[in-house]
Amino acid sequence: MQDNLYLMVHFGELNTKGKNKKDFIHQLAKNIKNSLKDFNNLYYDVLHDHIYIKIDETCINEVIDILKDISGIKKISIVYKCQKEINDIINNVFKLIDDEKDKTFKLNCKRADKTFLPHSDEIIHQIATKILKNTKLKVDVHNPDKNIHIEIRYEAAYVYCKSILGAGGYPLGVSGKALVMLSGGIDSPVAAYMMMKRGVKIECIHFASPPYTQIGVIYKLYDLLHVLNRYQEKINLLIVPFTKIQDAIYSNCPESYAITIMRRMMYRISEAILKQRKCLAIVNGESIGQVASQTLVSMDTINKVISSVVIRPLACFDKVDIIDISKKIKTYDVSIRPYEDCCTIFTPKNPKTSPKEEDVVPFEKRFDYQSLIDEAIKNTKIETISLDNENEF
Amino acid sequence: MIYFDNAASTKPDRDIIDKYCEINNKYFANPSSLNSFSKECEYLFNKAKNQILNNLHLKNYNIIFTSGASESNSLALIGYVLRNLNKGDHIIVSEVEHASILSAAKFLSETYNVKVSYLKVKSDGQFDIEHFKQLINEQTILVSLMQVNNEIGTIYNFYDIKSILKKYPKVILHSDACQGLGKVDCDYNIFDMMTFSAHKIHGLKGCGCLIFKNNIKLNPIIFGGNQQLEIRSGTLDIANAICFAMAIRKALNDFKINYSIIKNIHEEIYSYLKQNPILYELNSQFDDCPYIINFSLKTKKASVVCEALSMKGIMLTTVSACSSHVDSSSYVVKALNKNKDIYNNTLRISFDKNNTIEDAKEFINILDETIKELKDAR
Repeated sequence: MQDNLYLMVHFGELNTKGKNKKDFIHQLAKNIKNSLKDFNNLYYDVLHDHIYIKIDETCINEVIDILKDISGIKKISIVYKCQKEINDIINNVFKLIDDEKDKTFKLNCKRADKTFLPHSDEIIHQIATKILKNTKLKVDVHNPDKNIHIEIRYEAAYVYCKSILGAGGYPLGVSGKALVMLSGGIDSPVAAYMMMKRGVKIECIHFASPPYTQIGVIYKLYDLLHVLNRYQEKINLLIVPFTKIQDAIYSNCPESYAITIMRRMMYRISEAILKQRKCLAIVNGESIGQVASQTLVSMDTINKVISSVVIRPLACFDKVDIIDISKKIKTYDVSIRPYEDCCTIFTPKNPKTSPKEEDVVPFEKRFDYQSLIDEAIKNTKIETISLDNENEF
Repeated sequence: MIYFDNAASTKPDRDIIDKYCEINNKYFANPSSLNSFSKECEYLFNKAKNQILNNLHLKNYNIIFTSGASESNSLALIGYVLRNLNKGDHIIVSEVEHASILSAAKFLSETYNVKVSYLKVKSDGQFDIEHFKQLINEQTILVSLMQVNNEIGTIYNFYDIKSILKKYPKVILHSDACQGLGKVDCDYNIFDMMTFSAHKIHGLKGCGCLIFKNNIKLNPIIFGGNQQLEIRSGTLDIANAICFAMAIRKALNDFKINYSIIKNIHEEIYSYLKQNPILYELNSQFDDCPYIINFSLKTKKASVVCEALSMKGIMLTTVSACSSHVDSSSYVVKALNKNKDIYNNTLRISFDKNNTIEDAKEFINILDETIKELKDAR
């Protein structure tokens, strides 16, 4: 067992964040510790430039798999911690080399502690000489079998040759909380993921219109959120009873404007709930031009009913690219399960692709939508989705 | 809750569940072992087998227990055809069979080049006998036709089929008889092989059987310790065998009492639907199995009505997956030569002995009210 084996967690865009950096690192460390709480043999060293996790080899792959999904981490390196002394550094570099398998190597040295002597070039020279003398390995600076990094920092020196790419973005929780409009399709879970990756905590709002949509869709949402629980441990799901509003729209408004008016109602409700839940933005999976309600004219007319920030992380994505991400984050297989959602069942044959607000408003005045909205908000149910009960029946 | 989805699965009887626990508590040995406890278990297992055959009045038949009707149907088609390919390479199934028959036939055709013919049905649901005469030939080795249709309740008439088959003595007749057992009168001796399932008659899920004449040879499709005539490996499940025997005994004993209860329910609902031809189209005939009524909605989307009724505590089904994303049409109703709006909007209600005439009346009221309430989402 190697007792100087550590994981070195490199920060993502945090390095650019000036005086907030301390809070960010604190949040990231908290998120990491929380995600790794099932491992009781880890020790953490939270420093200004990296977080170090002392680890033993038995659980290293499992831990890396979890770290890969935590936002705010640029990469994870598997490092040996050494004394700031050239012989100890050399001994640890030799641990990285396999004389049988490796044919070539390259050395890189970074000296954060400028007081340390000798200089980087001299360190490389000394170590390379040792390797060339004692092994069959040759130098190749372009395509080496082993690309060895040596970092001389204030507290210690580190050597490593293997790094794993992380999720990037910011630590979850540093950017406030947003309300995601979750339908159960392919797009909205991807939008939710992109927000979380950016450090934004999410709550989800779903509009249920039984019997026009099926009760079964709720179980699909549970499964989707269980997938997203990998990124956020507990996610609140707000289920809005929307049937009466649907009914009123179809009784009072022409079919071709129904989707526009329906979306306007959903936005109004979302904004009211956003305020209740102290969220800062509304998020949805809209992508420009994907369907009639997502043309720029439609978006404009729909968006006019509220003043809150609406973020559409997928606005400029092609459907194939959205599908690629949903496969990567493993929401795709759940999303494609067949269920009717609020948007598919009442799909008019000829929806307006450029509905103007002045055309829509007179139809909305035909019924008392505000009291219907108030009632829907009053009867909204909130559930917290987490993996805690996964092994129970 | 009014449970009208009994063709999908019935509620297990309390005494059958109790018996299952009792047998599992008492007789847990592996009947294939050699100690005396095992032999006692094996004795009970064989007793269950004989009891089933006796109750069905079947002599010179064997019975094999399976995990359910799908396995029995797969074994009947694949096991029989692979063993008897030397006799011919053609089989006939009807186009309205259960998916387990259709999929097994497709597998045989795609993997073993077996020629599969699909027998048509007429608009009354019955097999098209003229078509059958055209399909059958010297290469035919197996005909598989269901006894009662699971979607619309047609009770098939085997009289003409049997008389044609007399001219083709090597052809074996298999029937998926799950939906008829204990529900319609039948002399099962007309079949050479037949499939039954326990959970359709208030038994337990995970248990079915294939019954076949003594002289029929089958290849196994599950391999292992060569239990059950070397055709169906797997540790013998005494409790399931006994409970299945019990469920069959009860279903046959109570046939007449149950039938009269169901017939009343059937008549009540059938006549209501028939009186409202603007709203409903009946896909089942009045003389079909009274346990099943299939009808289409002429003004509403079936999946929406199904959902609305379930919100009001009435459980039924649209026959196939309630969805607009997958093909939600009923291939059985389509086979009756009905138009698209009809076969895309079918509802199936199916009854059992636990239903009452009050259930039927309440169902009619709620259906009527629901159809009036809902928007025309088609």
